[in-house]
Amino acid sequence: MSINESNQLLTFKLGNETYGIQISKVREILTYPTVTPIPDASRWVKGVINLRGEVAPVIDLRVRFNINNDPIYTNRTIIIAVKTQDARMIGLVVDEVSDMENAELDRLYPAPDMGTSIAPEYLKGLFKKEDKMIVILDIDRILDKEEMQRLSRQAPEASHVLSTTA
Amino acid sequence: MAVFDINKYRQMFLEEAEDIFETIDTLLLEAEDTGDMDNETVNALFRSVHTLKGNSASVELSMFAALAHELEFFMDRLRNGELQFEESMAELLIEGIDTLKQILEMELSETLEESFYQNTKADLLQKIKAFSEDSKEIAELISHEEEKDDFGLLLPIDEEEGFGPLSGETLPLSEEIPESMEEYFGLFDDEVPHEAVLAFEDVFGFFDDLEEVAMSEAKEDTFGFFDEPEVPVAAIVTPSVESDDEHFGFFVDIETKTVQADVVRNIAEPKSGAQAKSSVGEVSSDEGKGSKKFKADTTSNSIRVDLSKIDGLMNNIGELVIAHSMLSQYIYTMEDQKTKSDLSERLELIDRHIRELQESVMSVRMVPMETVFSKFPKVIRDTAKKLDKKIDFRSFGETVEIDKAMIEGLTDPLMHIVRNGLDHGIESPEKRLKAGKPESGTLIMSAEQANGQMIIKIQDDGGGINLAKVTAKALENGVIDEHQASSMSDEEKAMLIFAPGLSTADAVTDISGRGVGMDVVMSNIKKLGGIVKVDTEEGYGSTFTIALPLTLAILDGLNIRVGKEQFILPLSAIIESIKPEEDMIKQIGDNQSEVLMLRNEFIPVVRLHTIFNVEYEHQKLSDGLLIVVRSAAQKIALFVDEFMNQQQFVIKPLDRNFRNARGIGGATVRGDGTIGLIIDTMNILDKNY
Repeated sequence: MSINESNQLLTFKLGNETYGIQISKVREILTYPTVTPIPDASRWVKGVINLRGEVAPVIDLRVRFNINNDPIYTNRTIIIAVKTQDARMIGLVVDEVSDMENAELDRLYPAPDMGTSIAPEYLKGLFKKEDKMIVILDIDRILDKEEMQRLSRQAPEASHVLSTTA
Repeated sequence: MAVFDINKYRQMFLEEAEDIFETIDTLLLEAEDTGDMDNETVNALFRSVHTLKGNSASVELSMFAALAHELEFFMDRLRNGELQFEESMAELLIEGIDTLKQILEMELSETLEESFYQNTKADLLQKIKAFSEDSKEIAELISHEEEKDDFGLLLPIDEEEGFGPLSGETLPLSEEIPESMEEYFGLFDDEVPHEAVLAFEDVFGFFDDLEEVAMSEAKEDTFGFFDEPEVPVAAIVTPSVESDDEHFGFFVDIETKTVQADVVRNIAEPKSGAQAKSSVGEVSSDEGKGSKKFKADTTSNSIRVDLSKIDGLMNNIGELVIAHSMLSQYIYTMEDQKTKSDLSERLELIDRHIRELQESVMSVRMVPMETVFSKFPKVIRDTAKKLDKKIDFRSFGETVEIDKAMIEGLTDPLMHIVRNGLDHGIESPEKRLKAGKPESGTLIMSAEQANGQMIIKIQDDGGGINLAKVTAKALENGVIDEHQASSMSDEEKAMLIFAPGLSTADAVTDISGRGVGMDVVMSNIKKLGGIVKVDTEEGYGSTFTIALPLTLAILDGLNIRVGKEQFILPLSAIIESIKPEEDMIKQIGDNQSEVLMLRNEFIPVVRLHTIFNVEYEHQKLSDGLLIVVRSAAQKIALFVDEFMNQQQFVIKPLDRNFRNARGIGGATVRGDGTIGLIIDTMNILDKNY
């Protein structure tokens, strides 16, 4: 019982960087299902899926943080289903799920102002393991309800034709 | 012994008290109306107040209990003929009950000040005194009151012991007392003194015997308020409570209850004897009686269940429906014809069971409209009194059932409409007489089910809505412009009263007139997925029509296709669908807006692919289909590429995990496990959504 559960990380890749989130937030890892697009949503909101009977949005973190603005979705694309602090179920599209790591979350390096694709305000910090560096995401901050409601609406001029995804 | 969480029981008490207050109000209003009170009514009133008193004391609301006692005592004297009913008594009692409600609220929120309480009580006693012939009775009354205080203090402790062995958390308070006594069957040796065991065995004899034996025994033990043989328990259920209980009441059996109540008394009796403390004995026997009375009001076989549990059940059924349709889709792709047809057959059976299950759970959620209506007579009486108007209130369709989840959202809007109707609609008696109408205004509230919808009408025969005034006000407030005003139909003008910040009342009263309210009515009804309409004729009154879906959980919908996307359109919103001819479409303005000319109506065309920003298949309207639907204030024609099938959908909220989207009212899980979006025709044109 020496390992605190919340200190365990699930690591995954967005582009070339390795990111981590607390395993306690993760509910499920699934392959890309048929996603129903939401009409007025931003490009990084892929739509909604059925997650254990709940209607959950799918968010592409790569598009959200401009890591890859034109990703391809196949049936091998991975979604990590997370549950936020306020008990919302949300699916996150990532490039690949890497591993589990133990990290002492109270001994993280602060996130630098520059050098990461994601702004420091969305990060909990950096974690170094041997020669690897893992950027730990503050998932509750990224998925903050109000911010999501505000940002997930499509700007009128950016309107485009949504295409169905495989 | 379990920790006694007083707040939990107080909550239960509060819920029950609301029901009881409603019953009392109904009875008193009736008495006030007819100017008479028959024995049955007096008995029912007495019992209700008695229950309030007993139960409030058990949850340590001593001041409330003391006040309830005064009223109970007064009613008791009415009951045993010491006092003759006079018309003004009804008024006193109504006032007394209002005071009780006030005290209850204050005591619960712990804002009740001793001085206020004393004044209120003195005031009430003063009024009661006016009906009493001699002061001796008053003295008696006061001495009773002191006793009462003991009762208030002692009872909770006593009850707490009773509760002890029982730890069922969700049981309503009323069940606790007999239940706990039942527990004694097992826990006897540890919990109850030996004498009590003996006493209990005595009682056991009565048990199998006639109930009357126990009853007569009870009579011997009577104290203060128990001076008359009781009406058989089963006969004294007040109608409103009963019908309510059918759905959300208690599951208790009449006979065991009565007997158990006597058991309580008999257990208590020897115990107190042994302890040689007559006061305890009195309290205990009173408690026994209290619990029996308590039961009397809750005799139907029903149970109080948290709505979220039913929602959970509903969700599970939803999942079952989805799993079922996934399975049937899978079977559809099977090659082996024999297995395929065998499986389909069995699957159909499951389908039927699921439907039945769904219906049963739905019916659990349904409560009669009476639950809503019964709140009104009191409000109307009070409001009318304040306004010096005479109102004849009638309601129809009390037995029509409505989803319990809707009641909360529905009561407020109805209240607003009724208050507005009383304040602005119905004229003063003088004005009415001058206009050649009967002195009393009539307010009719009715409910019916039609076309899978719940239709609620509120009709008054007052002055109607002054359309010119409303329009002028709307112009003044910038709700509409001159051009709109001149082109609006009367119906559209009447709908302006639902615009925010619009009140035509010349004076702001504390009943209505602040211009908030009607817009709240609109938004609340919309939230329930319904619509409000108003028909009005100046000088003859107004009718508000509210159409609601029967349930919030399941929706009959039509699958439609726009390009590659499919959406679900609620059947309740659809008026008709047509394949338009080219000459039915008119262009207006800069050729940007299209309207459908259907019979003598011009209906704006809304291209769904534009609204939802999806690819389209047909560009020309005559290649696709137009579905005429109800929108906020008008009809609109939705342009779609194709109709698909019609089916039932389990509604799931979109904003639980995400947020709402323009034109989308909710989501559902389709047979293949994907999400389908349900179109909300009400706000589809609302650009600010």
